[in-house]
Amino acid sequence: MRPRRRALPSLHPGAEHTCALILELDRLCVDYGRFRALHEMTLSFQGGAMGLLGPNGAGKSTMIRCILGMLRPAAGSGRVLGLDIHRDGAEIRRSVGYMSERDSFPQHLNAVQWLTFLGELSGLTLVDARTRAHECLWFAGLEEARYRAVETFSVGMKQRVKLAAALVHGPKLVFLDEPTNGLDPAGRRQMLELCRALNQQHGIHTILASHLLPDVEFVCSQVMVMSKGRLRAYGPIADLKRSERKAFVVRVAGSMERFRAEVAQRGASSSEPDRRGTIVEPPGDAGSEFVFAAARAAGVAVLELSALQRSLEEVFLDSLRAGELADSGAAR
Amino acid sequence: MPIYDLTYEGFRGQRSRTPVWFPILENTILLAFRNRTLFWTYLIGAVPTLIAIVYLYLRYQIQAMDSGSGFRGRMGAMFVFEIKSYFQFLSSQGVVAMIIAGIVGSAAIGNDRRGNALEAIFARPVTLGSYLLGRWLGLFVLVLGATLIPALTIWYFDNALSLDPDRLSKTLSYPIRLAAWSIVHSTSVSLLVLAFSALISRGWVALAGYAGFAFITSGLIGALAAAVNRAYEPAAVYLRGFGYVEALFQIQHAILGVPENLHSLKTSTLTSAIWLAFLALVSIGVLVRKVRPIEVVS
Repeated sequence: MRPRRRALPSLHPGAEHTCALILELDRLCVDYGRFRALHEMTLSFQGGAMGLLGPNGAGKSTMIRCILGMLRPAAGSGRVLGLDIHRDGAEIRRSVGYMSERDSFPQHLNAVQWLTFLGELSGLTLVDARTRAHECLWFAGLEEARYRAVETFSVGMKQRVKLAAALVHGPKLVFLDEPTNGLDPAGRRQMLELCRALNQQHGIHTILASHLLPDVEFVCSQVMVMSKGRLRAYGPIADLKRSERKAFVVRVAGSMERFRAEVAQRGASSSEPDRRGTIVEPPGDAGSEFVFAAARAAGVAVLELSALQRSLEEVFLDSLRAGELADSGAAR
Repeated sequence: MPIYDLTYEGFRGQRSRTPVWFPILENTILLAFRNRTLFWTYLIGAVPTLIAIVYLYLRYQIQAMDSGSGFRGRMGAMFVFEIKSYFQFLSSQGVVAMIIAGIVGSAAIGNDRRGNALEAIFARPVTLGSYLLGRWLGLFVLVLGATLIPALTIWYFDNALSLDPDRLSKTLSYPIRLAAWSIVHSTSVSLLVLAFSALISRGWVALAGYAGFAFITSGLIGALAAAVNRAYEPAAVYLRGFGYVEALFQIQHAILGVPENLHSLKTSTLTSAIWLAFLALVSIGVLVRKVRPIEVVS
């Protein structure tokens, strides 16, 4: 009788773990010698696409490398796909994809050989790794160039190879570190569409580290702002953009001056009109009905009315400013 | 060109049973055979083996013509093929193996460091130990192939062509001795080359460093030993063991059981063994310290 083959362990032990949280950090600290690069990072990421925003040197790459087990945390704990970052570094790297910020290619290998090699290192069989290498290079739009040596590729093609390399083992979570670095506008757009497709069409949880706000806004629904190794803000982009002030952006048909005068007469303030319209801050608990009443009285029609939102840039700069104030307060 | 392939699907496959160092070993060998110089070196390295086989064939043919009493028989008895012949053969193969190690190994780790491939490799479930083991084993196999395979081939033909029915029992210990020497030689050479590759990213500079270390240190130690020899001969014997090439030859003498030539300079087996072991440990230390997934600047 033929002996029954023992089932091979799954490639993604973390993925089998049905955890609610994809990433969970608790007071995580990382030191480079005496320099503390990451200060008590605490966050819970439930999945989707998250942007990791921060100026250069904010600690974004350090955090990613620590999560992947490439840097040892000085203190704190963390779990990725239910796996402990202290104990299960190898398992995490098997289940997670990482697209490095810097070019990281071997010499004298073509794209298929390089991805096959990385696939095998991630635990795929040679046949699977080779198949996946072709699939991922095709996905990244490199089907014609996949037998060329990677060192001969343009910057845009190298970025695509790095993205394909991050996906070769079919990760459930992927870290993309500055994926649009050095790309021209068309290449950047294509790369961002690829990144967005990962989460929206293929259900791969994505963490995109960048200092380019439009990139993050295009791909992600959540954002995390970092500076000087500290977490400054974290949450859904829509929530963070919601202004703390209760105000409306209003565009009217008719005299804007008459409308603003009416608003002022009713005890509210309004800003100088710009391309978007004017910002009206109703007094007390008054809501949108205040705007309509003022417009009626001024004899103008309301064309557009929306709650005031901050731009992501404002969210980012406000978070940095608040962080600096908190730092200086703590130093005093 | 499509922005992305809409038919793309994720992968939820099974894990391979292969240890993680094995693909690294394969990759080392794959990259090695891309180098045409290596191919030619292997080809040139095979010439002494072919000559030895032809030599053995002729020797046993001449012996077969006469049973040993006549001229031809005396010729046959004169050109014996004993362990000393293996020693001489392996000495030349050892040099070929060192050249192969230099060609392959000098860029093995350096290329990964220069292209920052280490970051991509260590972002996989690869530990430092498995990476170094894979790279070292790949180089070790290539170097071993240049010494052990030719040596065993000659041993096989020596037995296959011999007219002596007891030839096999007489040479039964040879394969073990040949394998032991090949393993010691390949281990030492491959570790040293890899250490130079980890220290110096540019392949040809690492190769020059390795060759310089192997031959210049031997020359310097030889000169120093010659100077000491006039004052106190036993000290010179110990000192010679610290020359890299001399140490390798001395260990070769010891393992193959071939006595030193009367005219050759005496070298201590003990200091040779200590020196080679020390170099191997230092090489491992260099590899562990220099091979890092991330070059931390701050």
